[in-house]
Parts: sequence; structure tokens; C-alpha cells
Amino acid sequence: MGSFAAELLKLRKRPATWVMVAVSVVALALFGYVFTYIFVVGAPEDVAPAPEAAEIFREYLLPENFLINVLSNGFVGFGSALALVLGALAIGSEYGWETFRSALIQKPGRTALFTGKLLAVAAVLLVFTLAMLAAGALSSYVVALLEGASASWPPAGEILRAAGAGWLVLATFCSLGILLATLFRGTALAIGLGLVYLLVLENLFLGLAPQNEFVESIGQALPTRNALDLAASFGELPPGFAGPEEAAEPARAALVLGAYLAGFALLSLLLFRRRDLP
Amino acid sequence: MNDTLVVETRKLTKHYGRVPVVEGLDLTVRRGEVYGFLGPNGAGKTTTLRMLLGLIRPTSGSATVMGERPGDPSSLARVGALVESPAFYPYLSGRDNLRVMARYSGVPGSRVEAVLEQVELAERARDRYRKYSLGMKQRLGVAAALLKEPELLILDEPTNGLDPRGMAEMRSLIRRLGTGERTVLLSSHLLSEVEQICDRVGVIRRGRLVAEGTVAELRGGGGLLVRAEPLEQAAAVAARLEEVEGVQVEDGALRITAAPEAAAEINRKLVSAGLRVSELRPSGRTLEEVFLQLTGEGDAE
Repeated sequence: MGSFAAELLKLRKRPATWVMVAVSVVALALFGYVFTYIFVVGAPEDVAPAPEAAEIFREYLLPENFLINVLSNGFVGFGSALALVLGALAIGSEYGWETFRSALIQKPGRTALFTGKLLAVAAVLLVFTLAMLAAGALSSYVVALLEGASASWPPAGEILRAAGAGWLVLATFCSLGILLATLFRGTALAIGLGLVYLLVLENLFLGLAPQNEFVESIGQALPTRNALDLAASFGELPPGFAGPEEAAEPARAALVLGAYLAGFALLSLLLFRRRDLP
Repeated sequence: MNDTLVVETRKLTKHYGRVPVVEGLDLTVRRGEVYGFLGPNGAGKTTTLRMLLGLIRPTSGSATVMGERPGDPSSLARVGALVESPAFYPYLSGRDNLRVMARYSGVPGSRVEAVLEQVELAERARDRYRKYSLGMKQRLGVAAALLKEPELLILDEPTNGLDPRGMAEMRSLIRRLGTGERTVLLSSHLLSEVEQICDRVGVIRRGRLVAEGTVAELRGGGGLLVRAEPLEQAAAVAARLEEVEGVQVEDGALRITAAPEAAAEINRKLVSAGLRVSELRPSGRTLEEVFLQLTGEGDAE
């Protein structure tokens, strides 16, 4: 409990934490709503989408579809990368500043310290999740006002389920950042390799999946595919995110993400316990 | 001071790959003493302290700290330490850094203000750590080490990088902290520091303990070195003096076995006997001479 309180104080007072939350909120509002809306209503005729396509884009911007829009554009789109960076920073910075040494000398023990850190990061991700959902809801409400459409919101239960799904997506990628930072005992390499994996390798598997059965089978097991499958349980994925015709069952996708989360966290803890502190 | 051991190592060894850093170290620190852990840079002092705190694992051998294995939370609860340079969160204030450390150690938040006062950092406690001078960082490190009111305080080169005034302040702080029942294990390569502060000293060379004892024991027994002329006559006169237990002629000087406090009387009697005395001083070696001999190197400060 003491370690959790200490970690929470550190994360709460760390500017980088709130910069991440702010970036995710602003990026969601801009890329998930503002630019799409401008593209739909204000694009010059020669580049404007066909009326049917414009209608599809417009529907994703309205409150009734805000959950699928936020989950796909926000949580899977760039939230995953930001969560990976947050995880890498939470661990890697401690190696860089050599503060693990100062903390461990105080008494907590390696398991308690690391568990406290994992729980504190999980709590921050909850704030991350709620901020992104609130930003999505607000943005969609503004679009509804501009369009003169009625604000028809998803049921409260669905919003709660989406919060759980969004948190799970962020936590999975955050734990990957934590594992990489523990493995490389630093921030730079962890973030660099993590982003290359996430933005290049996973997307490569997703893009090549339709052309090769073997690649597709691997792609289906990767975190991003399962995150998208989980998002798909809240509605049809927006253009650009579509995967196989039939998405995996949300329960299965959640289980796969949960297994990644638990696996990455456990592996990080074991590494941290076993290795000397430099 | 009593004979209860608060730190004990047996054949403690640490290798990094094939490189031995600490080799079969047997170290004992008794309750209530200020123990100086002396050695040149790279001798293995910090590695030893890191093993005692459970930060790194020994390759072989064993150690107990406060009767427990190193790094055990029940032993760490009674140990405060500053190892290598102080390391804190640069974006937090000095006070918030200590609040974080207090939460880790499970001590009440009120201890934070107490230790800030103790190291005279209360006035700058709101400043961010990254703005602190090296001396302030060192003092914050000591403050963190004191949070738990430790029975054993481990300080690794606490005056490193400090200016002369900062060093004097830190020495004075360590002396204050070492009073009473508290044990201090002080690692240093600064001989004057160890000589001024420590009750007992262990000298480490290339990972091995090469000497252990009080500063006086390491410097050798009492006695006087006398240069007087004519030398043979001086030796004969000195041998007859009641204050003198023995006389040896060595390298053109007399090495006299006698109590140091008898020096003035011996000098007076030699001069009265018509001898020309040009030098008279305690004949024990300086700690620096002992250190250089034990470590076999000229790289000590």
C-alpha cells in the first residue's frame, strides 16, 4: 500500500503524465472529429468524398457512434502508442535517474515496489480512459449541435463496457512498454523499439493478412488485431480500421488482451526481481 | 559501542563476468561504532555496500545486516543509506521527494519535516530537486537515509564533489549522527575524513580486506623518533633515561620506545646533556603511509 501511494504521488506530480493525457485528448478531438468533420463538410469539390461516403463518415461523428469512433481512432489508433510510451517512461526513467536504488533502500522490497508501480500506472490509465471518452462524447455532441442532429447516446451500460475495453487496450500496450523498459533498463530503446513494433510490424501483419493465410493467423494473435476485434463489438469499425469480415468474439479478444497484459506484467516483475540494479 | 555485530560478511564475493570485484571479504561492524571502509577508487567499496543493501546479489559468500539477509525489508527498516551519488526525482521538490521515500518506508509524513530540519534544508524544501546544488543533493540524500531513524547508517563517499566548506559541514553532520547507539558505516577514500571521524577502519584492496583495526592500531604503536647529534652519545644518554623503555638507531635517527607524553621531558634531558636535538616527533606512521603500504598503490588522495 505504501509503494502504491508513493508511485501515485510520483505519477500525479509528473508533468509527462498529464502531457500524455492532454495529447491523447487533443489528438482524439483533432483526428477523430475536427479533421474528419472538415473533410466531410468543407472539402473542395475535387477532393470531397462521394455523398454516400460522406454520410458514413458523418454518422461516425455523432453521439450514437461515439464509442466505436473513440475506441478505434482514439484507444487503438494512437492511445496504444501513447500508453506504450507512458509505460516505458514509468519504468525507464527510474533506471535513468537511478531512483530504483533510492526507493529500494527505503525498505519496500522489489515485489511490493513493482506491484505498487503497476497498480499506480493502472490507476492513471483509468484517468486516461475517462478523459478520452469524455473528449469523444464532447466532440460528438458539438458535431450533433453543428449538424442540428439529436444527441442520441449509447446506453450507460455500453459506455461502462467501453471504458473497460478502452482501459484494457491501453493497459495491454502500457505493459508492453513496461516490459521493454525493464528489459533494456532505460527509456530510449524501449520507446524506439516499442513504437517500431507497434506502428510498423503490427501494421505490416494487419496489411498483409488478406494475402496470406499464415500471416493472417499470426496477425489474429497480435494485440492490435484483438484490440480492434474488441472495439468492433461496439459497432462497425470505421473505414481504414476494417479487419477480417468476421471479428473475433469480444470475450475472446478481451481474454487474449488480458493474457498479454498479465504476461507482460509478470515477465517484467520477474526480470526486476532477478536482476542486479545497475 | 558493544560487541554486537550489525554487519557481518563471510567470504563475500562478487564477480562481473570473469572480473572479480569483491573477493572473499570478511567484514564486521559492531553496534555503536563509526566504521570507516577505506580503499582506493575501484577497490570494491561501493559494490560491497550495494550487496549489503540487497541491490546486487553476491556471486558467493554470505552477509547479514541487522541479523537478516541483505535487502530483507525487516533489516532495511532499521537501515538508512546513501549509496554513490544521491538519486531523486528531478521534477519533484526536495520535500515531495522525501514524502515519496517516507511512503516507501512506511514512516509517518511528519518525519519529513524533522529530517529536513536535521540536515538544514527546510528553507529550500520547496525547490525542485533539479535546481539543487551538489551539496544540497547530498544533504537530501542524508535526510532520506535518516527518515527511518535508522540504527545503522551506511554512507558511501558522502563528501564526494563537495567544496571544503560542504565537506566540513558533512563531516560535522556525520559526527553528530554517529553519537549514541547509532552505527555508521562510512565508505571513503579520503584519509583525513576517516581519521577524523571513525572509531575503527577496514582497508580494502582489489576486493579483499587487507587490514582492520582502530586508526591508532593501523598507524602502529607509540614511540618517538629523535634526531640528535652526536648520534651515538644521544643513544647512550637516552637509554639511561627513566622515561625510555628502549632505544634503537635507525636511518641516522633514534627510535625510542616511550609514552608520547614524555616527549617534552626527554627533549629537555637530551638538551641538558649537551646534545643538539633537531627533530623529535611521534614515530608512528601516518594513516596515509599505512594506506599506501597496504594498498600498494600511489593513487590514494
